[in-house]
Amino acid sequence: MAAYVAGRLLRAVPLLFGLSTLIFTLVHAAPGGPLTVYLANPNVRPEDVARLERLLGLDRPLPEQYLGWLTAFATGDWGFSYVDGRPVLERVLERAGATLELMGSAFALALLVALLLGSLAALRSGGRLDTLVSSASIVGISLPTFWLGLVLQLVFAVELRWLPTAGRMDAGGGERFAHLVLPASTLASFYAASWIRYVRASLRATLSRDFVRAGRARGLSEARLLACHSLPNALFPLVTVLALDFALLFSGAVVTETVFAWPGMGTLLLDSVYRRDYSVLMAILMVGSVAVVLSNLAADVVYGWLDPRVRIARKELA
Amino acid sequence: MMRQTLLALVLIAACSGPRTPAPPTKQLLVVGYDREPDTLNRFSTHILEDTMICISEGLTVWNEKMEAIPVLAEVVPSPENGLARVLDDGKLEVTWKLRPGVLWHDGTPFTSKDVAFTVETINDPSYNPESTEGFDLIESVETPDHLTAVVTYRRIYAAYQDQFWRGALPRHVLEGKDLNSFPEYDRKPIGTGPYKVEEWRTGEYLLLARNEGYWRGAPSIEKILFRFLPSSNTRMNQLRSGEVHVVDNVPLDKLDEIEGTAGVRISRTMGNSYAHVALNLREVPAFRDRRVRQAVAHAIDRRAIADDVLDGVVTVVDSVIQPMSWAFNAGVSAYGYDPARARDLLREAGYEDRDGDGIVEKDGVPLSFPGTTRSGHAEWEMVLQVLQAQLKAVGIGMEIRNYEPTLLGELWFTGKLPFFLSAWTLPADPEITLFYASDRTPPQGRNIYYYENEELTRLLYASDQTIDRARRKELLFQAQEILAREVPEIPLYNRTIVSAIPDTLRNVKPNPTNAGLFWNVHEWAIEAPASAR
Repeated sequence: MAAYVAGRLLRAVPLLFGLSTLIFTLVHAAPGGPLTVYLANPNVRPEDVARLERLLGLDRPLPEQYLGWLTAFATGDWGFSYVDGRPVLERVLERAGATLELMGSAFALALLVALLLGSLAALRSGGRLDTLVSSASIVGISLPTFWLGLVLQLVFAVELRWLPTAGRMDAGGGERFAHLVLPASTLASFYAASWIRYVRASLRATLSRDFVRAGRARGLSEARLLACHSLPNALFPLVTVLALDFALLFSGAVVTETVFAWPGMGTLLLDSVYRRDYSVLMAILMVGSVAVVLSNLAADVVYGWLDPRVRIARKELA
Repeated sequence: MMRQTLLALVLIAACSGPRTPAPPTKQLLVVGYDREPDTLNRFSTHILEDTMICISEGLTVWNEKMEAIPVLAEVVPSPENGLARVLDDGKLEVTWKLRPGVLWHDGTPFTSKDVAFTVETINDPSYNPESTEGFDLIESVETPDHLTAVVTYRRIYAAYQDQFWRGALPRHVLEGKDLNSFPEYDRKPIGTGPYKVEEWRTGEYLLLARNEGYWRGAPSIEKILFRFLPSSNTRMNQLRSGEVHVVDNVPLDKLDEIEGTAGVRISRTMGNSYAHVALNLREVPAFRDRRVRQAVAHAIDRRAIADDVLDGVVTVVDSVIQPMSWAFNAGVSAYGYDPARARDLLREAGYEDRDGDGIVEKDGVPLSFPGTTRSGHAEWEMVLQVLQAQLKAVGIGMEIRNYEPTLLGELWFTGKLPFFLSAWTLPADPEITLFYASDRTPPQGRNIYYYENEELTRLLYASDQTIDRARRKELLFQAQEILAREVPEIPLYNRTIVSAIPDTLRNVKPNPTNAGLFWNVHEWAIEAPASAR
């Protein structure tokens, strides 16, 4: 297993290198640059912009800039932000906690809802509850995140005033949980809705398999049969989806964080895109790339761990 | 088990009932702010005057009437009080008399040495301030005593009164430091202002606490919290739920949503800024004919845009200098809505619809061009659509092509937008040379019209070369008339600054300049609501 993981990690290196070249090219191909913001101010003269360009090294040829960035990045020097001059690592790290908190809670919430409703729908397959859950999941998948976020704000913060509208905490750090509810629910909605369908389909298929019938014939209670036998077997396919979706959750977090003024990497990413803060952009996109590579790997590893057949097949292949 | 937990959660939520966000009090005022500062060093950035002006003060500030008034200076220098004078060799000497008894936040006295240090720092090639304008013309700063700084310019610099509107840098803190990377100061600057930074949580908020030792006496409100809320929807929702108390620069398309919010009054102020359409003579050769530009101006029904599209919130303007300026010329030529006259002018210029497609053409070339504004700016997107329809009515084709801000900035200031709806925010001193002098096309300036007029250019430069206000006024009046007649740019309306302010907040004086709403924050006070009295 260790050799398998190490091999996979090694193969990720050229992939990440290729990705970094691609991202660097795309980021710099977008018109404008970190200094475009100054153009809008009549007090800033072309000489000032040229002076800033020189000071920031933006006047050097692109390949030279890339090589400089790559060698520094590979050795752990992420450079400085073009916007506020602070170290990029510091800027990314101070936002990472908020994003992980949001993504983690949305992930847990979505999983909980998907397991609960997906199982109910599978158990009552064809019934009214099943129709209701299936319809709700279609609605959940179809609703745009930003729209849902705004509606939840209007209902629960502006009208009912149960929860705060936005932000991560009150000044001084109060009400952390209350602030988390709306953004986490918004972000979770799409994933919960899509996972419900996996749980339902997979559990339905499992429930009709022989070992379930055998268990029932041996007199196992329905609850035990579901919790200890059917559900674990039904969840195999979901594990892959979950691992792949975890990295994707970040793209949803960008929108959610913007709507709820959540101080995470998503808002930082968006801000850096608008301001063409190349160094911060590169860092976040590379972190994202690494996360995708790792979550893919995690999916394979966990799957092998859960299902002995995969492990055996891998050994045979090796 | 799951059901019990869920039930418990629902019960907790229901029992806790509606939250009642705290109203504005003497202890705390919460501001919904549309962006986060990148630095609080006023010389390193041009945005976010609002937060910075609470912390760092200028030698002067523009008041609500856009007059320069003294803050850290005792008086505003002028030829009349003898503190600004042109020397025999053509140099300009400005004497700044500083106010005694002003202390930096750490208790160190503010002196003329700080002013001299500021000029030195800005002109130091190793520092990258946001702008060196005016500073680079300074030849020397003498400090005969602690409270006098004599600034000598190599030549006349008409905007000398505004030179230190950003204040000064504290010499005792910054001397010998690399200001390009000195986050301690950028995030917690030492100023002389009524508030100090208490806490800055990146991406979340900036909390300011009053300066107990403030030279004008400690302000009445103890703390001001600037919450960073980039989404305008979220900002308005927080205002409506009472979580924020003040929102400045309310987008006009959001006005309906917040009108009638309990405890909130809406203030409307004319800004030193105006929406306009820029006609690019380089990109659209037809615009080189004045008659075509005039036809476009006559085709636009600005009154309808102001009254119907923007609900009468804005005021139609004809001049590029705005009404609150001492240099404003109220009598310039104006182009009223007159589609018949527009069609006549087009015909005179040789444009007629010969192929019957609804668009006029000359020598087989249709009079049609792309029109642009900033995508996501609901107000301008709406206005541009109206302009499209109004131009179509006289046979001019305009295809809408909007861009996101950064790309737009790039195209804008390299002069590549043929027909562009946007706004200029002007400096308080009416120096408009940058925008209209023939030699100030990009990248040398903002003449994105590529409009050339010798007489206009002469007038503008002459105005920059005199400190006699009456003479400047005369020159700028003529320049405004030429611009109004020649219309390389069609002024549409003055940009009204809409602010949402608590009913109980006193002494707020919305300001047309980028000194912004908070310029007199030291005077603000919360009146106890009627029920509490």
